[in-house]
Amino acid sequence: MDAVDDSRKQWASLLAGKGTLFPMALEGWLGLAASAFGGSPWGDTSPTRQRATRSGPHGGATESAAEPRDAIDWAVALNPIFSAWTAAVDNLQGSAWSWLSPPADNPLARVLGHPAVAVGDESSPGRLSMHAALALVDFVHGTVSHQALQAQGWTKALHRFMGEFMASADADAKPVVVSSLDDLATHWTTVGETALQEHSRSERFLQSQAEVLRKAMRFRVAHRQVVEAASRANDMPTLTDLDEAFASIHALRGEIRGIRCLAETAASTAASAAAVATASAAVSKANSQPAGRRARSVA
Amino acid sequence: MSAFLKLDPAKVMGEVAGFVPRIQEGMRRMNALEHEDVAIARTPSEAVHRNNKLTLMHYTPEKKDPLRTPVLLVYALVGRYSVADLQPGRSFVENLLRQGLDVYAIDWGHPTRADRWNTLDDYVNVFIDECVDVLRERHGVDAVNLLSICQGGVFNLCYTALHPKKVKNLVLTVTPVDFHADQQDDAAWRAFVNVWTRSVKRGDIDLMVDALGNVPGRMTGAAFATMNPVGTVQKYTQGIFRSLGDDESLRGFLRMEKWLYDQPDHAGEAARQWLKDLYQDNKLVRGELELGGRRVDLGNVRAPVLNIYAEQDHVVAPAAARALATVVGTKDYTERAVPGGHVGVFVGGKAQAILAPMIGTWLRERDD
Repeated sequence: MDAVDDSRKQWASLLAGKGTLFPMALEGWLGLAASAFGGSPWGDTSPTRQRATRSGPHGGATESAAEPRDAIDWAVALNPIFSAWTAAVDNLQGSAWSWLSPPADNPLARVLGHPAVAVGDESSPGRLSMHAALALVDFVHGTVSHQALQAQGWTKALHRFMGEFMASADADAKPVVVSSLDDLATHWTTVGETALQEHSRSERFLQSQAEVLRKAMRFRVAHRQVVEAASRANDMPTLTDLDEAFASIHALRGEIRGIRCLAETAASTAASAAAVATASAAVSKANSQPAGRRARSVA
Repeated sequence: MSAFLKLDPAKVMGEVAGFVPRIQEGMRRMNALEHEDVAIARTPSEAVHRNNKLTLMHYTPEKKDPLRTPVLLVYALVGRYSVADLQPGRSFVENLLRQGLDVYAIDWGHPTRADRWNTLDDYVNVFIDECVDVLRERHGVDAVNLLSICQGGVFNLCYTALHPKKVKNLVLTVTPVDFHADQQDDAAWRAFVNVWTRSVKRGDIDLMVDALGNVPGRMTGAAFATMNPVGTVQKYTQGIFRSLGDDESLRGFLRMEKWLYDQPDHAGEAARQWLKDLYQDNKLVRGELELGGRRVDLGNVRAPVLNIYAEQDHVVAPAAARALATVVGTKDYTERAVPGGHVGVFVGGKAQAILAPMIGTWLRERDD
């Protein structure tokens, strides 16, 4: 709640302190554009110029050297906007809609989970439907949280991109010169991509992503159980039946390959043994003949 | 990094003024397109063997006397082999044929629910072994050359370790061997799949495979797209806008998209083992991976090995590919870097001039 209050105070100060937010943002963008094109969007009507022309020693208009325009620290000016936004999306993950909060705190979940709500065993259609509904609520909660985290990442990317054009604290930095809209888009890709990739590697993001996957799969399983219960009630085959059949086919194919391999090996061994036996028999027969007959048979 | 906004008003006005005519021109080009104009995998080939969803294709050799030992190209189960034959003039397969190689490729097809029980053992010791035997019989050779891309390289490494007599030479491209080596490289733009799988519990992977059967192609496609979230969005704004001004650029863009969105599902049991045994437990480089009850020992890979990795690979960190040097058994081990990304090495203009000639020369030197 403190973080929510802080962000509300920041918004309030923005609205109250420097006029309204819109003119301030507009001035900011115009100032940025002016600096890009090397001039001022206000021309001679800039407040600094006006003050210089109005105040003369005798009360009349007078020329005087233009005072340096107050330097605007854009990073400071824009920071509250980004901080407020990231804080707001931060809080979206934990606060807001109680009906999307985790089942342990969820009154809807408590109602749905009460044993009196659905009678019958765990595999009854009513109970399965309840589980699926709870899984869906859980999944939606996880998705909303993760989307808020993703929005935060894009905000960080935009913030970093805006910061590229602020005065650099590093005097030796060699800035990238952006001279066309195409260059601007390319630079956004470079800067924004790095920021988002860093964000998506954070522990928080990875855990949130893993949680979304887990909840999505749990819902999918729960949903399938409901569908299969309906299929069974109507004497129709289910996906589980098909999977079991395919598993059997896969196992049988493996067995057939194994048997074929053994048969080929046995056939190969038998063929080799037969060839060896034939050769041995021929040698034995030749050796058993009398010497004279052996000589004539050789000739 | 910082940037200095110095917009040239004339240049900006030119860009703005040119926006609508470019869109109109692009619409005209789009309307004139036929399906044939963006067809991919056009290099002539014939199917010489089939097994269920698998098709073994033989490309028509370009040279009258190609290299004696045929080459079997094994692609991954994620995405399709057609990236290696994207378009005339930018086709890895075409360039291999130009090198005088006799090339076959495995098209894994589109697995259905019936294939969810296929394991890595099936892919390595059944499907690839079958295709190798077909090549051996057709060409009257005892051993063949294996050429691999990414996950196909892992399959071929395992195959070579388990069937060393049937492999004459082994070429790997963008192949991960050490699935934890990305931890040495803290670049945020690299190896997100490794980071993600290590952040997920083993039970979650089991739950995903049990719930889905096969891992949907759209899911793996989305995972790859989110590795470059801004680039993915920019591609459909700035990227397509740039390509609208030129027929060939537009066709190239659309062909690439055609390949990107042709995403087959990944057989469930193979995915379970791929994510748990390899990405999470890193069993391959540790010598602990088992296929069909047989341990895969990379020390048994004694055939000559050419290991090619991409310098700007955002999927397989170079260190993950180069780890093979420390575990492979062969004495003839060559490692080469190629400029480009994970896919860019096969479709990029610069890499086209390097990759196939490198492989062709290396194989020719070892074809006795």
